[in-house]
Amino acid sequence: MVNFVVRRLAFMVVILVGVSFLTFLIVNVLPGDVATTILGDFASPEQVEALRERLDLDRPVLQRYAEWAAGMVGGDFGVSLKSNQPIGPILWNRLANSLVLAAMGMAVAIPIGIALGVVTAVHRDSLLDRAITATVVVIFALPEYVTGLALIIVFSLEWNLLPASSLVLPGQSLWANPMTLILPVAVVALGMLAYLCQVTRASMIAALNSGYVRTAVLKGLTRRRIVVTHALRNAMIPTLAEIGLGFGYSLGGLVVIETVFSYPGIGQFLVQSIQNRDIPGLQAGVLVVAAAYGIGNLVADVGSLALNPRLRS
Amino acid sequence: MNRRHSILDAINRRRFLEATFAAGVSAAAGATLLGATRARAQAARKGGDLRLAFPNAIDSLDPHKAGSVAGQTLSGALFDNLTAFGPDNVSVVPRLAVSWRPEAGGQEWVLDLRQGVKFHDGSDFTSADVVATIAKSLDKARAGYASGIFGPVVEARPEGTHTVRVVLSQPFADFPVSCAGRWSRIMPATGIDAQAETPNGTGPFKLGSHEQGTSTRIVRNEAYWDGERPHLDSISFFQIAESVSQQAAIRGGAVDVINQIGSETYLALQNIPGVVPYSQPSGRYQVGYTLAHLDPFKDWRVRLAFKHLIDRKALLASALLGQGVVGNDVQLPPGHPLLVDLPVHDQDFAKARSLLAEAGVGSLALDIWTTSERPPSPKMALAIKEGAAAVGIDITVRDIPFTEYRANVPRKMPLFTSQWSDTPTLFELFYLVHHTKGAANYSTVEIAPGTDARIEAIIAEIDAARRKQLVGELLPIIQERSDRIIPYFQNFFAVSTDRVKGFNPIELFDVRDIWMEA
Repeated sequence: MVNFVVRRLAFMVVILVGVSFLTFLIVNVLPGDVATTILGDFASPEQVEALRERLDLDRPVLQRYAEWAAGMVGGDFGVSLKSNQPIGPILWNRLANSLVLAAMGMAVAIPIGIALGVVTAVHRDSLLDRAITATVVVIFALPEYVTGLALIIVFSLEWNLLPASSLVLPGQSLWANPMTLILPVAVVALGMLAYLCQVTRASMIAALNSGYVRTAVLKGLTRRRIVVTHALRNAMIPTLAEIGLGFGYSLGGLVVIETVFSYPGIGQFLVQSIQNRDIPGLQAGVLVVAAAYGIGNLVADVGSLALNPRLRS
Repeated sequence: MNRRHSILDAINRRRFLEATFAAGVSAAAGATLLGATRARAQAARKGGDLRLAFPNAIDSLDPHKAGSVAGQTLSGALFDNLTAFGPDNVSVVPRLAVSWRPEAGGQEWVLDLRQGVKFHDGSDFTSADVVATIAKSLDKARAGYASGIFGPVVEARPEGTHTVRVVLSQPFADFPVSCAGRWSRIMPATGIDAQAETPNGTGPFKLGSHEQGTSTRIVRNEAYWDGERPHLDSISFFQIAESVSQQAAIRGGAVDVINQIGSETYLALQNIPGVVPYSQPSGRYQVGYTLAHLDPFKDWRVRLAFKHLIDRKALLASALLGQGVVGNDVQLPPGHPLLVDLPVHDQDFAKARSLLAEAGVGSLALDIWTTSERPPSPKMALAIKEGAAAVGIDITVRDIPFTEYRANVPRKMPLFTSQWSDTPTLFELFYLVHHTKGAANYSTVEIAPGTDARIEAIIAEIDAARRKQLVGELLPIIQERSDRIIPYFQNFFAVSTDRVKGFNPIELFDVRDIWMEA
């Protein structure tokens, strides 16, 4: 187990280096740079060139990447080219906010998604199964942007029950006004629970049709014990893997949700970095999301190992 | 106040009224303007926290690097200008400069500065700060958006602790107006390049706390030199990008003012109790550029032909939902006191064909570059494409991301869309965009022989009547030969709750005047 974790961590480092290099390369070959963004349309070519020189944008990409990567290893995320603020504190604050959103969304989605998956598998092809499956398919098919706007229209504009924007003052905790969390958490949870329901349903159906479940039935075990102890435990292995991946996906996928709800997370940070062509900010943000993806995947794999002894061999 | 002030005051009040009525201000806006006037007449209540939202975040605390309107509004609260726009949003009144006078025929300006003013860190405001700010604006590598913002300045030098002499490369009548602009905030000489991290102005509010890209809180500067203002205790800045979220935020009371809303948000917020939407005529316009130094627009007749391709009224109705006024290819909106009678540039395919034939242009295939991140300019691009098809020109609309657009389109492509904010000085209106040395003259050539000399004469002329005559002689040339199709002027939209008083709904409003009912 320890060897496995160490191997996966080493592999994750390799992936992060690759992600950082690709991101740096892509950002630098795309048209437009921070000098033109800062100076605007009115700037003369001489002004743009002068600013490019001042910001060191005229130096080779590889040289700039090497310096940036060395800084990252030492915990220095650099300084925003647009705002002149150090990126590290901003990024960690945003990441913490996004983790709150993703974790709360998962906390809601996991039990409900698994429960619905089990119910639909146990009552396969019943009216209940079809109704739940159809609903979650529709929810899963809807882009988060649409789900978010629909919730705002219903709960904020029409019924005036919940705030539509997560407006947080500097230094203020997200918990200062927890009502602002409900709608963005709901959007995260809806998408995730729909997916988990589908995955759990499929793996539960496979488990319920397996030989060990048939044996348990013949042994006269109760239906509850068969479902919970035998089928669900095995069905959870693919579900757990999806939860791990889903956590990373949730963090990366928060871009849309955070923009719609003005939520001060890493997704909004990425959007602002892109708009400003703030290369250090964009680089650091993408790397953090990639790391979250990798860590989520690793946790899922370790969880699968813990649940299924056969995988350890 | 000097004579020039009084002349400008008279002219600009007229312009304001003419613009208001010529543009057909909506009932809501009309009521708003009257309401704003009445609000100023009421006794302002001290105190309160204003929650102010914009569609974009504050991008920089450095006044010279603030590109977003949110950042520029913030810099207007933290910093002072030498002059400020008066209640009509056009004429200027004293601020850090208490008086100013032209010398050497307008080629030099002498400013007497306000005494006893302190920066937020407690240091004294002196002429050295003005000199340092103007010097920074002349340094292309450090100036950011403020490059050349004070006009054709050669140097600024102190004459004592509270007098500054500004020397220009030529007479420049608009110098006091250029001092009131969004990038003309005065910064302290000490630490002038550190304003992005530790902004230190003389303005009515001090930075309370700031989280980059999230929110900002400013608090009243108790030592502010203007004893009467500001009225508010504090202002909190937020970003709300989505229209539906903006509607929910203002209706639900999460914010008090949202500036720069879209026309669809304005229309959706009409007739909502407790909510006051504003649709205000403005000098902001969008442009179809036909660069005069690139083929096929080197011949002015081709440029003029393109000006006759668009049905402007139909475009105004479809693109702006009627919330604006038709443009006539000059950057002065209807009602501007310097505007003269000009032929109307209507859609006229026969004339366009004739002009193209005279220029020897047969069939053409062109790209028009635009970006959906500057709505509704893609609709203008489509209107040009449709009109061009009627005269045998095949145009492909290229709608690209803004960052790519900004880097690769202006100055480089012959045909593209763009947009311009309201520009108060004749220097910005004419010199910057039409003079061959103008920083924003994308064509880099004279649109007609002698244009540079005409523009230089206008910006140098201090006599108002003579100036108007010179502008009247230049405008027909610009309308006919310039590289800019101006099909419409856009209204400006904002919304507030009815508790907010003293709010002047323009792109960059003055937070000093705002107060809130209990």
